[in-house]
Amino acid sequence: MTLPRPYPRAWGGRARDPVAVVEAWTTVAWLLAVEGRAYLEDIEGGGRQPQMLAVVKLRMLELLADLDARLAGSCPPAEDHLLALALEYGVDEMIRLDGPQLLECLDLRDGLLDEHGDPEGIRRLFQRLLDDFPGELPNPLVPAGQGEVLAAMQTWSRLGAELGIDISHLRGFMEDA
Amino acid sequence: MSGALAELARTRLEAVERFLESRGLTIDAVGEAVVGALGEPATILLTSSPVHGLANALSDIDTVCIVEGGEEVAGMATQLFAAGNHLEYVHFTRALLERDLDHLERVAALAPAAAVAAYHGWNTARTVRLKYLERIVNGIATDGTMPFADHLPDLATMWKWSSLERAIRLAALAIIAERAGESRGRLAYAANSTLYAMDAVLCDRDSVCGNRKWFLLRWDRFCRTRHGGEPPVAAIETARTALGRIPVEGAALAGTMVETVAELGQALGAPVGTLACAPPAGTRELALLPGGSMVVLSGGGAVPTADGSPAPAEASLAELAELDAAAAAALLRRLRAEALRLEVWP
Repeated sequence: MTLPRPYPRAWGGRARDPVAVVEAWTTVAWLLAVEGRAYLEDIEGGGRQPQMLAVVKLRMLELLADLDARLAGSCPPAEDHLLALALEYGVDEMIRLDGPQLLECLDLRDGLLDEHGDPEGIRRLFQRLLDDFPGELPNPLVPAGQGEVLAAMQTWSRLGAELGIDISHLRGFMEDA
Repeated sequence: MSGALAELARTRLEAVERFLESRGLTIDAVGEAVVGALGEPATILLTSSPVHGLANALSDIDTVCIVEGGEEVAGMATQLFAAGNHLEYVHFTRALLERDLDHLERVAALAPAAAVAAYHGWNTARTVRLKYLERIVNGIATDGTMPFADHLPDLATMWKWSSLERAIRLAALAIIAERAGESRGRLAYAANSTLYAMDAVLCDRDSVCGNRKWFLLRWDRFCRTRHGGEPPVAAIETARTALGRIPVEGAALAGTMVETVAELGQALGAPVGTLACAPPAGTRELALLPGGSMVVLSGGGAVPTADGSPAPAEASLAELAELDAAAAAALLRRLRAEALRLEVWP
């Protein structure tokens, strides 16, 4: 499947309320850099663990649905609903893919808990989301990444101060990570 | 420590040593690197996937440090790169940990619904977050012991009720989504319900590993090595097989979900009865148009919705499976917006 270009609204230059935009994009940047990359590492390391890969593929769609809601300015849905919403309604803000296209990315042959599907489709989707993000996302999974994470936090603090926005919403995510 | 827990510690130590050897490390070398970075003596626990024998070539080396005295602080996770490996450590003072372990004992003695509420409130009410509590209780110290293993049965009880409640709630959502005509959404809920059902059974056997990505692999190992066939293992395997057979546009799965969670609840000692369905305090529905309302949520936020028929205040899973399409769709919309909440054991 040929993937459409990610972040269609942002690349289309659609401006919105700065407080909401800064909160949404810094949160999405953090979660994609930390959780998105961790799932990609799971795919890379899990070649002999198909049961783990089967669940990681579902978790990646849940993360995608969560990030999509945040970029849209909505409250992220409860975790119970993320996978159902992704598969039923698709995503729009991160990238425009409908439910059947997301199902195709999972490469399932035998139900949602299928262990035989290829993770390449979802890996390619997440790599594209990382590559096309506006700016270089830090990589906390490599030695140099610790400095990158601190630098990103400092930049976001300055961005928040410049616009009079409190970026303490990121603290909870850092604790979770 | 019981004989079974001592045997568990031996198995886990071997798994950790094998994993570290594959990385060119020893358990002592990890201990020395972490104590060096921490700058004070501590009990160093090896934790996470290597302890459970689940680690792969790229798995993290996660440690938790328990320090005896000093200021009572729970540190942030810190990354350490040593000998080409990525290590993580986080530290807690023993006094602070023991307070939370005492609380865990009280939670494990609660009825299932109260234990689940305590589980969900844990991270805001307690100092040692659930993720670290699970790692500490399962952790292997550098001397090869599991110093907090005596708390494993309490941890497993709390986790079991949480996963069972989640399995039942997700089964209810699968049934409602199916009645509402959602072909793919129902399968999503059913798949996650099945995963949590597996985890509930594993916790019932004192195997606690909170990360959902490992549920299916742990389950397959469990079924292969010891317990295949005994209830509710067979029912869960039947549900898993049924999920595989049902294509996106295929047959109904409500019956399978009802039977699986009924057998699961029965086997684990918390039967599934009538679920309650109520709005969180402060939720309001204001008129928008004839047949349409603006739902204003107690936590802020609002969402427009078509009215549909009123949601049932209580229903069994079998009754949810009889909802008409419009009622099911109206109920599902409100549950997703958190304008209504399902309570499994009201």
